[in-house]
Amino acid sequence: MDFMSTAYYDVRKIIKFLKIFALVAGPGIIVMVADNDAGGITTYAVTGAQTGYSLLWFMVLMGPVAYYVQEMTVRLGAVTKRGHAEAIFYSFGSFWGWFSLLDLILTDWMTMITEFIGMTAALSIFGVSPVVTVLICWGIMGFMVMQGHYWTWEKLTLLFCAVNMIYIPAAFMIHPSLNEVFHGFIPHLPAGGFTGSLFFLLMANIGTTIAPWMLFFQQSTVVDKGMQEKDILWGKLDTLAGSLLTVVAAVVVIIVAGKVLFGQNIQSAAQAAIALMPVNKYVGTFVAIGLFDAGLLGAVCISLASSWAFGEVFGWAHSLNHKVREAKWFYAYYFFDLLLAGTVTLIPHAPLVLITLFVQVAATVLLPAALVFLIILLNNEEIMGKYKNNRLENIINISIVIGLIVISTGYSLTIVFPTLIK
Amino acid sequence: MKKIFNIFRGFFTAVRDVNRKYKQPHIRMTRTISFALFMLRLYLFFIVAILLYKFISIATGRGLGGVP
Repeated sequence: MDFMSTAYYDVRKIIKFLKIFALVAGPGIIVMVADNDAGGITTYAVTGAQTGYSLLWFMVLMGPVAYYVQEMTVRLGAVTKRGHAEAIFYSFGSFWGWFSLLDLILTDWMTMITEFIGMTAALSIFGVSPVVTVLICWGIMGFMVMQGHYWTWEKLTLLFCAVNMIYIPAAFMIHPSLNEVFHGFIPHLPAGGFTGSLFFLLMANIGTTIAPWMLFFQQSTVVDKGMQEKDILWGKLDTLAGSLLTVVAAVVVIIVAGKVLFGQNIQSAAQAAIALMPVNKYVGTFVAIGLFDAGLLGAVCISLASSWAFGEVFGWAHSLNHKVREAKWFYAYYFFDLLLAGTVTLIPHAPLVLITLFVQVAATVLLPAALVFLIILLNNEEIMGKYKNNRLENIINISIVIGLIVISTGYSLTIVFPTLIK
Repeated sequence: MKKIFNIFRGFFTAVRDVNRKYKQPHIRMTRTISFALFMLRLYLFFIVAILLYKFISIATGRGLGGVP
């Protein structure tokens, strides 16, 4: 009888926990899953095709990196009730503020173009023309934000996050060898050892783990959601769940590409989906749908990150809880971003490859600044009070930030000067 | 035309307001923070200089085997 009553209360406790989690969860899961955007999926597909399962262990390491960085934005947002852009302006003055805002706007806009490239490439596999794809995307993205409720937007976006997990059944359908997969989680280098191209691949994977827009986006989302200091623990759990999901998605894409496309010259996720079609049309279809979904999630979140940043700094109404007429500049910038990025994708002979490369380079200018500001703010007792970084968090976070700065700079330099690692 | 002019004028006024509002940093500039910001300036100067060098090399046709 004792056992029964204990079990009953345990189950009730778990249900209560899940109910609260379902209410508070959102920003962390969304930002982490959206991090696996069109560019990210391409990087994982290329990683799998080039190295098989050899770098699965490395992807697992990226989870804590993403978690520790993003977790800081939860605390900062919940305590200050300011988005990242506003926090930088307020704390460091207008010079660093404008530098961060303008760089964010440029980087976000360029990244948006890469998302549209991914989406048009994904739907072209099903015979949909780029014009129709762009129109569909504009329609979906407009519908998602124009509900006038943050909650509705969040749940709709979480639905798209669930679709992003479509790679999991795809991985099961290709029947990978479990022994080989388990071996992939044991740290080792691929056959051929540490080469220049492997170094580039590792840097590319790290580069996709943390992007500048993620810091701005999650902090603004935390503020828009109205999270309080008491919600910080839940926000951390939300971010942890998101980091697990992002690692799972990355791992399964690498497994699919590593099993079926290993040794092939794969340059993009769309190319991977096309190559998968003859092997298993369902898997190819799933990868194409996943790529479209990844691009869509990325585009929505990135565009919102910019709109929130503008709204915070200029003092416009900037909440998804506002109707369009109540926050017209906030929505106007969101749509302006979407229209501009989608239109550039449709321009014949636009230098899309150059734009894709430029995104990585521009991010290298913004990311270190955003991370340094984050660390400084999280160490300020006047701002953070008891939620400031403790010694252990500082050791972990500062190590991650220095590592990210060095590696993202190295990645950017090898893009600009490819002969550096040859 | 006047409407467009007014929009631009409104925008520049808003920028001036932002500059006025955030003229002074609100964070206390300790030695550590000043050092971190100084290092950040150096880093940005370095990275922007390299990018400019690359841009000028491409523009003048002296490519360095770089961007496709």
